[in-house]
Amino acid sequence: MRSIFAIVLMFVAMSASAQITVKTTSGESVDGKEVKLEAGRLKLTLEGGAARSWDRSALKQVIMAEPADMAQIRKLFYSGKFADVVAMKPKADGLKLFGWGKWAAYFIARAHIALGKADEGRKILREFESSVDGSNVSADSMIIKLGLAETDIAMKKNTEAESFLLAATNKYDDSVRPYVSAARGRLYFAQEKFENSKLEHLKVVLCDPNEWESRLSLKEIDVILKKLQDPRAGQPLKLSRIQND
Amino acid sequence: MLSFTNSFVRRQFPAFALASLAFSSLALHAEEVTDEDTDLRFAELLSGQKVLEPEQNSYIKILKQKYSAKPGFIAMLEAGIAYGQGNPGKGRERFNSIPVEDPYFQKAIAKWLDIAGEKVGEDEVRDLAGVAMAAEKYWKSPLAAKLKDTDADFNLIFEGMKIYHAKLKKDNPQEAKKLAEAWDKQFPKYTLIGDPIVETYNDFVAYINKVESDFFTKKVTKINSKELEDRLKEAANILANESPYKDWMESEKARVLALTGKEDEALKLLERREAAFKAMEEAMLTDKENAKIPKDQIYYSSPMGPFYYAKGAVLQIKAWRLINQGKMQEAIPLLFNMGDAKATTAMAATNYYLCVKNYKLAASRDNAAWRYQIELQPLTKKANRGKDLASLPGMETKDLFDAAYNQKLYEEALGLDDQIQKEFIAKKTDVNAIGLYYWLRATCAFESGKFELALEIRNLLKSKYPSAKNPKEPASKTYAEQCESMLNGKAKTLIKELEEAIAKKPDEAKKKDIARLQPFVIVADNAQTRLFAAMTSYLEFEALRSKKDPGAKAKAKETMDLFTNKLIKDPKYATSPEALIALYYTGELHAFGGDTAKAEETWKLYFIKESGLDIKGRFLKLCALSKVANQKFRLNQEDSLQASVDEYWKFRKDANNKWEELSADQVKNSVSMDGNIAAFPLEQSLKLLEAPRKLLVEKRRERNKISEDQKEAREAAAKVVRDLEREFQPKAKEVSEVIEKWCVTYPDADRVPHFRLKQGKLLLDAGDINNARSKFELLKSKFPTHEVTKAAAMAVVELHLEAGERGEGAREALAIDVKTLPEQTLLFLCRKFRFITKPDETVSPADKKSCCDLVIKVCEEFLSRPLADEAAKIQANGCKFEIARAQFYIGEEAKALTSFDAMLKENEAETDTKKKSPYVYDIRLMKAEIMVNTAKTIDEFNAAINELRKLKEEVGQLPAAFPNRNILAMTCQLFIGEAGFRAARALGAAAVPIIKLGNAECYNLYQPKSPVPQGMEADDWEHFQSEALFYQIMFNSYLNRAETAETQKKEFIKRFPTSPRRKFLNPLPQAL
Repeated sequence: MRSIFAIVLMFVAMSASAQITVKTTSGESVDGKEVKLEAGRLKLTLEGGAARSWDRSALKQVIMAEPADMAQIRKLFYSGKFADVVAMKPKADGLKLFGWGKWAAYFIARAHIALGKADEGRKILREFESSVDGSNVSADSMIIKLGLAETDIAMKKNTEAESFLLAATNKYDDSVRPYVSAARGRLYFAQEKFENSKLEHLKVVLCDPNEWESRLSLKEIDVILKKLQDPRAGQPLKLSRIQND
Repeated sequence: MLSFTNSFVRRQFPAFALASLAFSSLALHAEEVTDEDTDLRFAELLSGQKVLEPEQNSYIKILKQKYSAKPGFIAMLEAGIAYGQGNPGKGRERFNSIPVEDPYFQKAIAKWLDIAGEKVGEDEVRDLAGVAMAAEKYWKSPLAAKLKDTDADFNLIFEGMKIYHAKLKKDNPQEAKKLAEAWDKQFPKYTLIGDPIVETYNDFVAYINKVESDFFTKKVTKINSKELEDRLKEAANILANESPYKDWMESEKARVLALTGKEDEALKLLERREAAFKAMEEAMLTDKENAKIPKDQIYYSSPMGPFYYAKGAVLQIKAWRLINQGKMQEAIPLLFNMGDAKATTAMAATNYYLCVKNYKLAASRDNAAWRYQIELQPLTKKANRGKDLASLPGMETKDLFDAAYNQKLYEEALGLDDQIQKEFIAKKTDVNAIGLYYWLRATCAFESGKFELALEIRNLLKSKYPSAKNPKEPASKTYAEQCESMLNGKAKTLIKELEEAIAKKPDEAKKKDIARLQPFVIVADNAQTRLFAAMTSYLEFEALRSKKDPGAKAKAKETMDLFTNKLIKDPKYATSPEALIALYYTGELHAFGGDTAKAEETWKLYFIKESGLDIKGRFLKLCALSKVANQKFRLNQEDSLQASVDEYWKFRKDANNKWEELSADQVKNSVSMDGNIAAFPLEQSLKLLEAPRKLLVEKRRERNKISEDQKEAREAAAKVVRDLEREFQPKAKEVSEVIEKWCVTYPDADRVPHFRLKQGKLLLDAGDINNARSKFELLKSKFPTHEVTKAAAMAVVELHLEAGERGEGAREALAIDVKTLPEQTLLFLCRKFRFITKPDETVSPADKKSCCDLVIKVCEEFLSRPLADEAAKIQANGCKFEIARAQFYIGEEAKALTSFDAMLKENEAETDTKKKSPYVYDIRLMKAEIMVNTAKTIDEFNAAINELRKLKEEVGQLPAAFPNRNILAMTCQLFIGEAGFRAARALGAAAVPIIKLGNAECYNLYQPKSPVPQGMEADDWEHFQSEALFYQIMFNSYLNRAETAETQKKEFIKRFPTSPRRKFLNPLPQAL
């Protein structure tokens, strides 16, 4: 059931006439159908064709479906084209006002890490920290922190990463759960706690099997199994069908 | 295609974006999760994955650590995992362990009901007993009073309560009633009791069926008529106006009558009602309103179903009573027809047949089939010469098999196999059902003592249906596995019982039964038993290694093979925790085999694999780290040593490892490991100090050898020693201080005594005797029983010897427990403390006593040990001799003589010349010495001298290689001298002939110009020389040759300045 549901949603999300809501710092909530950047300001075209615009300081939340640029960044990241992800930075700048900046920063930062430039990743995250929030404020703030934790791990600052990942994240939005588990998996790996690491990655695989992150986690599990000279290494794990609730 | 994933879309673009709902409701959709939520969910998902079994174990460990403050939550997780693993027993146990005070109690009950109550079939739940337990636990807790029907968990609890109530009704109807009343009062809308009419009827039928079954199987001989009638009356009253129950009850009434002995009355009752019932059935079947209702259902409502069954039963009851009275011929017509087609409803079989044929949904149908097939069929066959009853329509033999099995009629159940093969197995429609059938059949065979058949069935199940299992429990074991383990358990129990019976009374048949049962007994093969076997082998290896047994090598190889092939490399067990432990010990075996690189590699892999999840694992990891470091130190791998040491300390100092959880033994071991690692620099400095120490000791020895006359040479040597000492002392002091510091830091480390000894020896070599002694004393007082303490005591002994304090040394040595000393040390002590010649007055009586006591003690100890070889036998003879000699020296001459005589006698009896005691001459010499010492008359002196001369002659004829030949001969000469010396003083002038004899011997003995003869110590030679010259001086004086005596005296003083004899020379004695 769940997968059909996802596909339906996907079409909806990609359709151009998706509804967009802008919430301002003054408490106003405006619905519109199209949004674009104009001279550093956010311009929202309303249902009747009229338009309104705000600058950054007036914006609190922008709620809209995943923009094409964002989708592109994610797609590139999970295809392993990290240089291309980094090259998306100018487009990501545009996402700052669309409620997707923090997510864009998260993936670009991880691409930097993959290219061995964790400090660059950190810069991006710091820069995008002030992006306008999307529909889920807590998840958005969490994703930036997760990005920072990933850079900490990459820069071997395990203690810093640990203090955030293992303590401060006892409660989190379920949409970031796979990223939390995966980050913990990487932290434990860096700490050579392979058993813990394996289990965190398995959490991604079993609890959120439809996330792309779970494919990465499967790869990381295999790396651990190889390291442990486990007979299951080097072949797909024979997992029984996971029910999607 | 999948450019969005689920939660991602859900997050940013919820479903209701389809409709134009207000976005303000978005906030409702952001789901907050906690680690607990995730862990609960993950535990459940993980437990269903067979390939992730090792992870399930480690996950539980991690959870135990993570939620150590929340035992209820841990139990809940463990229970979830157990259920997921198909182990409801453990799941129940874990859930049940959560006390009501636990904050997770309510949550756990809900989870338990949810998991155990999961539907796995139309009317089946996963774990019925678990649901009942959960509901009961909840109901009996104070939370039940607060339950409201609006609570989120209400439905779960209500469903659970129904199951609990149903179970209670079976076990304890009174309690069930109370429970239902209490619940219904609290929740009148959700009653626990079903339709009271249906319940009443079902309860009554269940009751009467039991009575009837007991009657047929002759379990109960006397029927409680009163109770039967009362129950009937009660039920009939309630059902009096309820259709169709009131009609059904008529038939039940007939059964009651028959059971209470009124069979004819019962038949009459049925006869009266038959026509009316048939008409009712007819009416139902023809009623147009019922046209759409399936026929089976109409038949179900008809009174004829219960009627036929009741009539069959009444007839059978009547027949059974006749059979019991021996009236078989009268009984048979009531049961079935004898080959005649005139089957009438006046026969039980026909009635049962009709019931089975038409009333497929009737409650009594199974009973009817059972009576027909199992009870009447065999009887028919017997009476009817093998002819069968007509086969039952719509009834499968397998159903009968189940019925027989349920009633424990195993033989009967087995007998149905031919039919089942044809009807069921040959069709191969449902492999799982076939598996179940064979499993049950194996049980039947076993229970009826047909063990060979049971084995055959088991093997068939294993080979042909290995994967058949309960489709509703995918995680459960296969039927083949269940069958195997069940038969294994049953066989074990039975064997035990038989063995107990045989122990009481020997019985050949029972012995044979045991042999027949053996094939069922499975020798368990799992990682744990394999590890156990390997560890046993490892412990044997350790024992051999500590004894330095050459067999240790072979054992190590064998053990390594066990560890490697049975655990580490076996794919079945490679991921088990046991394989991990095996890996650790394999490192040890590699190290023992000298393959240190492989050992390190193994331990390194162990570090990686050991997740450090529990304290035992963390401790073993610490051990492995310590071993790698130690190995590197031993092999002088200085490049990587520091890294290993750092790694050790990093792990040791990591607060996350919670070392406070270590057991007392582990704490002790870890402190020792710390000590060892910290001692590396120490050992390094000691190693560096070794060369200068040796040099110093050697130079000292050289210096001591130079005689006091050679002043210049002595001075030069002394200077060398002084210079070396000056250089050595500060270094030794420095290292000693480092050792001191280490000993204070690690007072409990196992190597403290070892280092204390080294420290003492170091100080000793540095010439700091007092400090050395204090360290040795410290060692002795702190570790009185330690191995090293003996070494310290020995060091003190040597210290005394070096200082020439033999008495002190002997007393020190006497305090050592000689039982623990090695043989070599015993002989060393004997050699050092024995007196080769009789101690003179320069030795204090106390010292003499101590030394002799010590010699006696160590020699006796040596003799008490098993003698390893020829050399030891010779040494043993020596010890006997030393004991006697020591006894002689401490004045126990009588004892000594007895010993000497015994030895001589023993020696004479010895025919093998090789085994003759080499001490025989010493003994005779000693005896002669006693003669000399005790002689008072001239004859006695002469006798002694004759003995000595005889002895001298004999010794002179011995081969030159005979040990101590020269010493023996010289001692004879010396003793003749001594005899002269003593005789002169005892007899005066009468002694002159004896003196002359003595003088001649001493003259021959004194050889100032010869070198030390071969095989003789310089000291001994000097002793003989000094004594020979001394006697000559005395004799020449006695014989009035003063001039010669004076010359010899000057020579004596010059050559033997330290001889105690000097005091006899001033003045020289008078001529006789």
